[in-house]
Amino acid sequence: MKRHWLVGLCLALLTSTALAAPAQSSLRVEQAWIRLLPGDLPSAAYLEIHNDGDQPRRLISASSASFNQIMLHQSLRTSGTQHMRELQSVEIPAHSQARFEPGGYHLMLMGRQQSLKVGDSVAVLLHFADGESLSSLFQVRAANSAP
Amino acid sequence: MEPTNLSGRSLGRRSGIAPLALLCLALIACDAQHPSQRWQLSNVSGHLPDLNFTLSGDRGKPVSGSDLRGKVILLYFGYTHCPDVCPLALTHLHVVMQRLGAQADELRIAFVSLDPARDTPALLEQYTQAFDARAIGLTGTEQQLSDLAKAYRVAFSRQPANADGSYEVNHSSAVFVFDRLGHARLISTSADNMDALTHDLQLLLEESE
Repeated sequence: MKRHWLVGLCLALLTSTALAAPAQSSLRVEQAWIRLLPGDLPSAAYLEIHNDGDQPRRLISASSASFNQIMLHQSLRTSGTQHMRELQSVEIPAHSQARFEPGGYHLMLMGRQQSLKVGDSVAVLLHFADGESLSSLFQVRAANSAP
Repeated sequence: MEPTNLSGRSLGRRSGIAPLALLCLALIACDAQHPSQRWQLSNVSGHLPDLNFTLSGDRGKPVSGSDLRGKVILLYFGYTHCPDVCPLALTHLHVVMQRLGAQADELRIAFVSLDPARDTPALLEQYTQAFDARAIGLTGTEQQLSDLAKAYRVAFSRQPANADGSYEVNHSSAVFVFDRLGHARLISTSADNMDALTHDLQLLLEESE
């Protein structure tokens, strides 16, 4: 009887510990920044998502208290004409990274909810297909900031 | 007659070199007469019309091509609701201006908005000034924009609106370079880098009016 009680307690402690401290994410965000445009114009955000895990991951959306809406976009050049297409997801291969850079993948930030200035940090939540959400701070840079 | 070199000395056994030397001299002479060899961007001299237009400026007043004579003009077509490509292009132009230092005062960036519905003079001024003080925002009627774009073979199309009313404008991202006399001289595409543009603008700025 006493042993069962002890085992039960140990199991409970282990379970609660596992829930309270989930395994460290295999995803890392680096070089996250926002090119701030004036007024209500949509701004673009750029970042590197590093996947240190063995499985590919898929970014499916992003959200932020600082913007009404964030879309995943890719700039493309076809026959000399520039255009954008909305992406449903961006895959980050295992042991690799996805780069969101000017002229390529970018987050399009619309409906700014607060005044921002160069030097501010904006929290953005990145949502992945398997349910993980990762919060990252993006540095606000000037419109003419050269990467 | 025995072959001689330029100073008149007999070449004797070295007579075979004379024709080669002459060829080299001829090639050097050719290159001097065709300085297009020295441009790193695409040389369009004589292939595109001089910069002539009537548009509205970002101060709300009409601006014509002749108002820009006397400056080297970097012409770019875009729109302010373009979050990625247009800001990148304008940033590159700003960096080039910075590299040229005081010489850049002889340059102007002419940003022509293909989206007059949203790009008011006030917004155009706010936008262009965020990139460089020497940038001018321009827009116009559909006809004026169509005429200007056609002159430089620039394709653009406004895309269908999204549910929230927002829309994109597909557009060519080339930069057209005009000299102080308004002649079209060079085109820089996104394949070119800032080094090439800086190099060629320096050459252009050295040309006397």
